[in-house]
Amino acid sequence: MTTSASGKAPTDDPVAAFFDELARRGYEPLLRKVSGRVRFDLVDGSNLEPRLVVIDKGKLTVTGDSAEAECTIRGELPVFKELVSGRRNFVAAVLRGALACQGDLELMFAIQRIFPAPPRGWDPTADTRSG
Amino acid sequence: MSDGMVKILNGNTFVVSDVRGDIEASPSDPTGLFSFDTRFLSKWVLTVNGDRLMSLSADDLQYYEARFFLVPGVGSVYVNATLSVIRQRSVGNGFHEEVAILNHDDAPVDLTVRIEADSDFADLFEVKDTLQKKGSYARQAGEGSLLLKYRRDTYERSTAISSSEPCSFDEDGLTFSITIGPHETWTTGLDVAIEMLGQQIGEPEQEIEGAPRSLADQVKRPIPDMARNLAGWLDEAPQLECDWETLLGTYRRSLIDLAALRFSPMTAGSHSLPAAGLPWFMTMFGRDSIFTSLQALPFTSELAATTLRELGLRQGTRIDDFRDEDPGRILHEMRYGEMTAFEERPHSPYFGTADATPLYVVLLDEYERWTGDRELVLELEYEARAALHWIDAYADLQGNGYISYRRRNAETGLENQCWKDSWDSISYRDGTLPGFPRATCELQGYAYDAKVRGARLAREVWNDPDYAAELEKQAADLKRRFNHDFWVADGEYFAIALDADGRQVDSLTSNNGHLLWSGIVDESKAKTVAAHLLGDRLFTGWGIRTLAEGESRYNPIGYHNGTIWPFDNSFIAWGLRRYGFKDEAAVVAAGILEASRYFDGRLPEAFGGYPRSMTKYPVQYPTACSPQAWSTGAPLLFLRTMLGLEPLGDHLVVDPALPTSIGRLELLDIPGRWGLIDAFGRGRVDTSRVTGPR
Repeated sequence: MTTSASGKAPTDDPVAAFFDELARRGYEPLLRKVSGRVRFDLVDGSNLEPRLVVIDKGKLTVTGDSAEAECTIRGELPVFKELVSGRRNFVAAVLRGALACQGDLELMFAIQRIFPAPPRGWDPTADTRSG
Repeated sequence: MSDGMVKILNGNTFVVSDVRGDIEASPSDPTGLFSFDTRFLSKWVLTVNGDRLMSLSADDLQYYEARFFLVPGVGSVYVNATLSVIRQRSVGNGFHEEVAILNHDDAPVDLTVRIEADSDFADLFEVKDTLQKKGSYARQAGEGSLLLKYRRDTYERSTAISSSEPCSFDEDGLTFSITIGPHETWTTGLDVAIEMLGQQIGEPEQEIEGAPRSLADQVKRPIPDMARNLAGWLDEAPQLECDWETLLGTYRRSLIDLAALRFSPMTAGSHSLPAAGLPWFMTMFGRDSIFTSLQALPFTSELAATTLRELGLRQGTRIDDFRDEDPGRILHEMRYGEMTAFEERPHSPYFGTADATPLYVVLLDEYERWTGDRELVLELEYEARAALHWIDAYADLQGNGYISYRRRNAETGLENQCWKDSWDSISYRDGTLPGFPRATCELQGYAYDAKVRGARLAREVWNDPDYAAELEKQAADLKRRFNHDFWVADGEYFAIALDADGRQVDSLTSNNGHLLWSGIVDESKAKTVAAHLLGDRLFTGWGIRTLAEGESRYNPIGYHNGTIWPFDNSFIAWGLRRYGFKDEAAVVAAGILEASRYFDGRLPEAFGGYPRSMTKYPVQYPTACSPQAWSTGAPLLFLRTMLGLEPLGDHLVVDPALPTSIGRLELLDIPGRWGLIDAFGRGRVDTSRVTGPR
């Protein structure tokens, strides 16, 4: 049912691993009410690698397809690395401009649930926060 | 909020200026043009021939529009003005301002008209806490516009200023060199457009797909038809007829303020939910949005539907200690500013509230009872189940079967995660403060109500009788334990909380009224609870105090320790009514509504808890926000309570118990699953004679 994402990225790449795992998972209960197409555009220098996530009431298909989507989410690879390790918050990244979202924002709020929780006790700006 | 300021707003975009229409913000005061929690304009000063103007009058035409009548010259010395200046400003996406200069002289006049403009792009949190900016500024003065920009890493915000009449732009503003003929008028239209996130995020009601907007597109964006929108809103609300002028005025003020406080999250299309208050809280709050939606249900159900959908979309799904997030938890507060974007504040969103999650289920059930909208209850089944699951799986921090709270974000999280959220709001009789976790009593009431209502939805809509039976069993068990564990035997009321050792935090508070509302109180205890609420220690004649006189921390102007909160009282009156204390509910309603007269129909967040016989008028507590959503909603809930409006299947029961001061009252076209129904009542409760049940 699912197709493996394109194998361009090295296997130790956590971002590739994340999407591969998502493809293997095949179903995500947190998206059981959701249907739609979300394309993540991973920017790595001058390379742009798409990951198209097609959701059908929680059923997931992940491909390296650059097809049209109702919602596109574009960001630099290091940003995605932090997202897939739970060390960056998706919504904050959008407000910050580190992720550029276009299209259906409801889909955006739904899809951000697939990213993992941060490590316990994680405080993203404990050292640098003012005030 | 400083006095004499003129505030206009549209959703989370608002402008606060002085009576001249000028903005000269200092880093710490909330004047300026704000949107999405960011100040987009901190300076906006009009001069004519180098002189500041003097205000003759300033009118708030509508909540989104103001007009300023001005003459040149400053100070009290009488100026024989041959010029008048009229500024008319409407807020939309940014704001639009029409500046008109009238020459009353027989001779033409040459003028240099200038507007100084600047923006500090402060986050509202920075304005509150006076923090320094970390990014860099840029200004671009072009042929047709002045662009103010702020950038920090990938974070960008900008303000674009343009004019319909020719002018010269420089980096600090714009200048018109004009000649106005005798008895002629010169006008220009100024547009201040804001931009967040470059091209990515559109404002409500705006198509967000397609090409990035150019600056030209941006400044041409139309302001929505606010006038038609407000007229439609007032038109659709039930019509109130009664003999009491105060109530008529307060009702109208509430409807208009509620319209002003509507906020469309970016995912809600043209739908809106109540934001919490102007100016600091023009955003989605779990608790405030839910309480206000409950208050407004008999008048408009759209706020509740949007609140349920939007809070559901953002329901917690993971354990995140920085955001105090758990799976199933309903958010406390959402923010969009720079500090949130850089994760220096946890509001993307922040989940540190212990009451919004059970209240979410309460609102869903109450919404269905009024509207019959089973579709939405089906659509939100998983969210409601996750919320109910949160109560037992994540909120029972002490393993004693009660909801309690203790923040996991010790730095920027909230210490008190109940509505009385100030540092000293939960105290023992002797004034000492309990440690954490704290299990405040009203949370247990909300949890009980959520389980009872969740059971009804499970049985009648989700078709899951086993789950319904399980929830009912849990609710009954909770009620039994609660009435034993929280009951202060030597005072005959419920303790405000259990502390970390399970010991009663034993002061007498208004929270007892919320317990009546939730239904958790044993029938055998209700009468003494009601007697306390209407007794001298809590009831002042104007309303019920947050904390009873005689408690160590009691202070008639203590934020949660003695002031009267109209929102609190509206739910207490509903609770009194629920247990059959109709006359007592009418007394509370009459007190607060009479107080509203002294605030021109706009009830404040809180007012002083002095005895009515002592002050003759309600003493306003200096509050941060006005209007405030749940104060705005209070008169609506009082109307419901006094008329005894209660959905019963496809019917609406009307069982009025009105204070005599009201005389005759009609509420026409109450919307619901029955279509439209009229309710009538006549004042018969002599509120001067009711002193609580005996």
